[in-house]
Amino acid sequence: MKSAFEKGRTLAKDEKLALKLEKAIAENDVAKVKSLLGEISTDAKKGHTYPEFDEQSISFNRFRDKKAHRTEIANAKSGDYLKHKKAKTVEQAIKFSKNGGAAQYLPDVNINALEKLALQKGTVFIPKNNKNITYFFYKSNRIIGYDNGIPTEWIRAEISSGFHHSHPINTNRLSKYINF
Amino acid sequence: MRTQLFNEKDFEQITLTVNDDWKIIYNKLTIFDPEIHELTEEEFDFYTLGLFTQNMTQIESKNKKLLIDIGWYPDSEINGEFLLQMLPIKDGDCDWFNPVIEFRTRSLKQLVLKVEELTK
Repeated sequence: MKSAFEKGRTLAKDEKLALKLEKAIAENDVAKVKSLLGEISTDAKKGHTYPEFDEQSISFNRFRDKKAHRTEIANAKSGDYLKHKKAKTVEQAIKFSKNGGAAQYLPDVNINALEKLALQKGTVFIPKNNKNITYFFYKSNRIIGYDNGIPTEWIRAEISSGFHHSHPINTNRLSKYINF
Repeated sequence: MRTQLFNEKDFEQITLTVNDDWKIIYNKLTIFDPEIHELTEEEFDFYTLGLFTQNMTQIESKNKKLLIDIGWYPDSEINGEFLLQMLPIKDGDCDWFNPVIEFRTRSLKQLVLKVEELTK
């Protein structure tokens, strides 16, 4: 309990909240402490939007409904300039993606087809502070590339200005975005 | 309730000004300058997740046969920086191995000034 309080106090940006926590601890009011700790949740996922593809939600960004989304996917072109397909071998994919390099697809991956699948079936994520961006996270049935030298089955796809593009994303990075 | 340090207004999209030779393919840069705001890692993840990524902006000039590519590396990490690359376009594709210019900065202001310098 004490350690939870210390953590809570450190994380609380609001001194009043910290004082409330201190009082709840002093009164041994476990329910209140839990409630206050919940208020200062540090979960970076909090506040982002995770709409279901089938959901006809106005929060689903520009894809207000299934039909509009399908049309946008159908009309979107593959990006011309792909820095994520430089690698010609596994060794290059590891090397190029390490140390802050761009994530790399394996050379035999059909990127266009994979992106379309991601846009149709991926888990949707809309950043809470820029709802003009929509990401689609999709898991393939095999390793499709490397991100920071780590092999991955996952991609992060998006549509921007009528072009769809994507790159492999490792599960360390992915875990910031979605539960999987 | 946690004190809200930033909201959507702090992340409005930047309008880049380029001359007629250049075309913005896509642009996800916002007005939020990571150099100005000193955030903890937790705060950076909380407020900016999905906004500082490998694919942020591409601007092309078919006449000059050049592409400007901007990303944040390492992707989504507080200790990252913008990387701007100007690359030659050959046979409809970019030569990613031979950038004409590479420019790294954490400053949004410096980045935008560089884009304006390269596209004027």
